Amino acid sequence: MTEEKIRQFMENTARTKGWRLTPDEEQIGYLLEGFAVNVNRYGYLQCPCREGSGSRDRDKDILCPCDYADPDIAAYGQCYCGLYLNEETFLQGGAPGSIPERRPEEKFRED
Amino acid sequence: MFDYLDFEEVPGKDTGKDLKLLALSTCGFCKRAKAFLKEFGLAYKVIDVDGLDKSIRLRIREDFSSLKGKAVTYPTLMIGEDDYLTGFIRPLWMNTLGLEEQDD
Repeated sequence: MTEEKIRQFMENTARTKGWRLTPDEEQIGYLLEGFAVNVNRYGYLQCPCREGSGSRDRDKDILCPCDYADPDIAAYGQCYCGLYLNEETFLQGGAPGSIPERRPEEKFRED
Repeated sequence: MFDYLDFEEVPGKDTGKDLKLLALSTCGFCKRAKAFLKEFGLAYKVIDVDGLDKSIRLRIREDFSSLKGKAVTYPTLMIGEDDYLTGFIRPLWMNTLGLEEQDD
């Protein structure tokens, strides 16, 4: 999957979910690179901001858009990667910053 | 802490503190953290955890949670033996590291 295709996926996801993509092109570029690595490494669009297990089934909650994006966007105005934003955060602009991890720790430890 | 990891040393200004950055090669905020440390020219050590064997990654998780009482997330910057920053929030990193914005 090319970075162009991944960008289309991001844009389609944002449109479908009623979110906005971050206006920070640097962040988008970083994440495009990360997604491309994960597609080559795992074969699927795993969240680039979290450790993957290599198992699509175990990582299904962190396939983009992850299961935590809706509550994170509701609570913080952005997803964990700072890729998808709500309208208010989009209009505020500014440099993206990290938010707390919502994924349960045991998910990272599953065999 | 994490003496068993093979960190890459990035030369730069000595802060007087041992800075160790635990990162994912794919993560946007990890890349921002690396760019931040480069911007200020700080000496630090770095490792991309996603390139390590699962057993080592689990050991990092167990060691961090047992010593710090919380789950490790990336990026994490270890500052000496006791302090650390998790996630990348520029103003917080500046304050914690005692840095000031530089003129262009």
